[in-house]
Amino acid sequence: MSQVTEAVPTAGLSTDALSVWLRRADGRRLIAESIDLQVAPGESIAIVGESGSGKSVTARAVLDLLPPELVTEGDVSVGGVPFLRIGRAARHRMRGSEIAFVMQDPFTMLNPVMKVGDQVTAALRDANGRPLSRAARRAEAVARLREVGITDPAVADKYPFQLSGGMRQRVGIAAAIAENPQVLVADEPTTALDVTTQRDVLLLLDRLRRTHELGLVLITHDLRVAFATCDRVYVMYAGQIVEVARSDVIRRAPRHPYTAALLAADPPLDHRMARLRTIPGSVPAPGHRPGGCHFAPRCAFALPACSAAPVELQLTDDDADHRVRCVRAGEITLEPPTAQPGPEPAAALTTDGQPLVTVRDVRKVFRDKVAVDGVDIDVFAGESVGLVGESGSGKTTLARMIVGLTRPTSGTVEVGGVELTAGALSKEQWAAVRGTVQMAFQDPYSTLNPTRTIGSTLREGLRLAGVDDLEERTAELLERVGLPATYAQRRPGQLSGGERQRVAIARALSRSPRIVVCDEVVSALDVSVQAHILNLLRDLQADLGLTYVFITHDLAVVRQITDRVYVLNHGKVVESGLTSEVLDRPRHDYTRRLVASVPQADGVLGLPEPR
Amino acid sequence: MTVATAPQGSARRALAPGLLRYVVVRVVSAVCVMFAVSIVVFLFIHAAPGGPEHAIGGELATEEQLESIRQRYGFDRPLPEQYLQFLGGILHGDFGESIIQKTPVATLIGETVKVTLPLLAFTWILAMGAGLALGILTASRPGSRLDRFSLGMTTLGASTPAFVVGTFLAWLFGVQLGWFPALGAGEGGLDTVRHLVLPAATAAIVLLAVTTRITRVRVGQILEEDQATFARARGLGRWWTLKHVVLRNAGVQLVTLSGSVVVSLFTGLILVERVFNLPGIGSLMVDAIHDRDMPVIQGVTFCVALLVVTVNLVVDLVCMAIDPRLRARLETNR
Repeated sequence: MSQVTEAVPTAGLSTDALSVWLRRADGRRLIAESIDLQVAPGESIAIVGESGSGKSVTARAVLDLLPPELVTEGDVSVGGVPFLRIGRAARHRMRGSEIAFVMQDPFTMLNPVMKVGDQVTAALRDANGRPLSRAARRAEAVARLREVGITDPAVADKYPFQLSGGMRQRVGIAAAIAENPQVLVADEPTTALDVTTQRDVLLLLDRLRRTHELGLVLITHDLRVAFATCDRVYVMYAGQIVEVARSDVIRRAPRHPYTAALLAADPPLDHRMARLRTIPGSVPAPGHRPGGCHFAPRCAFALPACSAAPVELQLTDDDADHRVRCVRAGEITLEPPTAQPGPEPAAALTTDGQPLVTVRDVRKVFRDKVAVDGVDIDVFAGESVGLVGESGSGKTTLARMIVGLTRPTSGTVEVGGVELTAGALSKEQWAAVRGTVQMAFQDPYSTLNPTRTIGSTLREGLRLAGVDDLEERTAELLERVGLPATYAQRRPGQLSGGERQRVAIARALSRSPRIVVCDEVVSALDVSVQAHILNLLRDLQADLGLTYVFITHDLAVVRQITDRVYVLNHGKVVESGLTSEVLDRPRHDYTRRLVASVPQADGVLGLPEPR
Repeated sequence: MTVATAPQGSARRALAPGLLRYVVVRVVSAVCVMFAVSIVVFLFIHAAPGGPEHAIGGELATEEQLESIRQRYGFDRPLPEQYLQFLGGILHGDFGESIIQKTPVATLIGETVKVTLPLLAFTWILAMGAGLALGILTASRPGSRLDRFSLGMTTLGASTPAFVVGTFLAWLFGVQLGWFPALGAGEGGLDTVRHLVLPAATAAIVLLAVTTRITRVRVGQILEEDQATFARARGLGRWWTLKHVVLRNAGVQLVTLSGSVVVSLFTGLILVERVFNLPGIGSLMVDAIHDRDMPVIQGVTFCVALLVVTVNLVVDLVCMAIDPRLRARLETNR
């Protein structure tokens, strides 16, 4: 690869001091600061960052697809053309034909009332610049779909809602690259997908990169995805690129403290950490970013000098391609995220005696769809049980049946000695069940009533539990989940996603339950926030002797938080056992596929050949 | 390329069972509603104070007159029999004879429809056309001067009573500027169109706030959706996005809106016809109520109900035709 960064490349994509500002009545705020990217044809780069890092805004700025309140400065060069400096119409013509864009959500990206084939070929014109004939359009559609691995020609005549998420994302990619662009910008293209589907889509992008000589820009929050797919990684934090290097270099020897902290916070799949590493504080919002190094207030290595003046991206001594935005990069030694195996659960944990939850041969049928199909589950006091599966596996339905929110079609569910399925329960019986098992939900934004203060939400649960000193106990609850007692006066809108999830957990705890059912409680959170919440859940379990039923699609999370696991597929338990056993030596084909699909730098996709 | 000859979706040609059942159920239920309407309309005359003979003969009718009315209209026969006769008449387009004008009700309705139907169509086109255009324009420039201006003007139009708007338009364009005739229905052809401009504009202005707002909101939603951004990211043009993304996705809401515009127009047109002195169906109805001309009231009520039911039926079927998701739901919801 060329080491000369000053030369303007004629092919591929490059940006020069690209900044994005938010225009507001009270002035403008910097969202993304002076971003320099380089992507050669056939090369893939990743922009990695947590929410608030400005990575998605940067992606859209590159294509000039920002909403009107966001304005850009700086230059973007696409195939040697100064993309932001040419006329609007010319720029619009380059979209799709020179630079293309794939969005995160395959469910909203496609037009729901237009046939897939027509969407793929919408931008295509014949040699004379006229729209294609009907027959030619269909032939093209079938050919383009085949290119993205959809071999069934009938798909061209289907509507998006008739396809699975993975298929839709393939269709989206086919539509995006229909005009054979040089550069493809993909904004979190696999975040909404299941892990097995994610793998297929990443492999597809990797293949297209090679066959079409595509310059690929992958925006992702997932370091594993970035390492597995991309040649080089740009790490963004609070609107700045803080580190750039080849994937393997960043993975093995990060030089920026933030990169290292992010890597350390990512839970490993192959062992249980004694304690997940976290990053103190949270990502500063635009307008509240500290002067000097933006990461300094959260950095373990920060000195007064760090905050004194803006820090520039500088080359490191060990590798000419490795640049880092840290004044202390040369002097500090960052620990690589080494294996620190924690206590794996003992084999004969607590699975004797009377189970707290007994589920026997439970089925749930919604209209013509079987969601849960004859499942047996036991949960014993003090253990943490994982329910793992992809979307549609029935794991959430199962969890709702354990809590009594959904009634099984057949089978029995017994919680704390109360049979939930035996006819109508009395008010006292329901109170007993609710006092035994509580649930925490996935989406931190819709899980709390936005019009009530945190305190009033928590007091409601306490009152139902028959607590007298409400104020004191509310403060105690907040403290228990790591929030200051003053948060009782706040409303959900004033909290970050991680804080809301803490409140949701506090609410579940307000009734002093013995079991907490956690439905994907960390899947909407950033890696560093996720680590905080997982540590919190472990502490709570140790302090309060809680029992967890933990629903998730993320095997690395399961590894960290559960003792035993049930693997669900199409409503059936296909494998169960100790978490370490199941993940290390999966016996069922489906579990094997699931484990193999987790992106690993030297695993699934393999590291791309260094050129 | 060989795959090009693959059979085109054959499922599209044969009506899917769920869709077929939906169409049949919808049509049958529309017919049932019309039967119910016919019963209610039939009973109108019997619900009148003093019974049907007084309704026709008036309060001062003598016993002989009442007796002759009873015989002539068959009020002495049992109700079901009378109803069957009434129904048979309706099915042949016979609503009886006007008591005041002594002409068949069907003829009266036929004459007034010639005035009202063009007015209705004209108003509908104006309200929908202008509403769509304004809605789409303002949605693509949210917060612009045009957006705020259109919101202000359409709200003003909607909150001003139709007779005020009508009188003002008649005074300005009819009397002061003399661009359009302010009164009457015209002699047919282009003259009718000229005569209908002011009444149609009056009725349309009242509706414009609703049609503009609903279009504005829905189109605004769609333009903010990922699919609109994705279309832009592929370099697809404004017109393509308008046609294939905006209009197709808003189709169901716009069709529903245009149906309710037709229905709500009927009440509005009564006022407008009065202001511009048009011999339309609204005027006919108002006169008939005033004169207690029962057969006319019955005939007009039935025809209006028929129009409302038909419009709703058409709206539902068109929505089915334009939204594949609605059709798909029919096939799974068994």
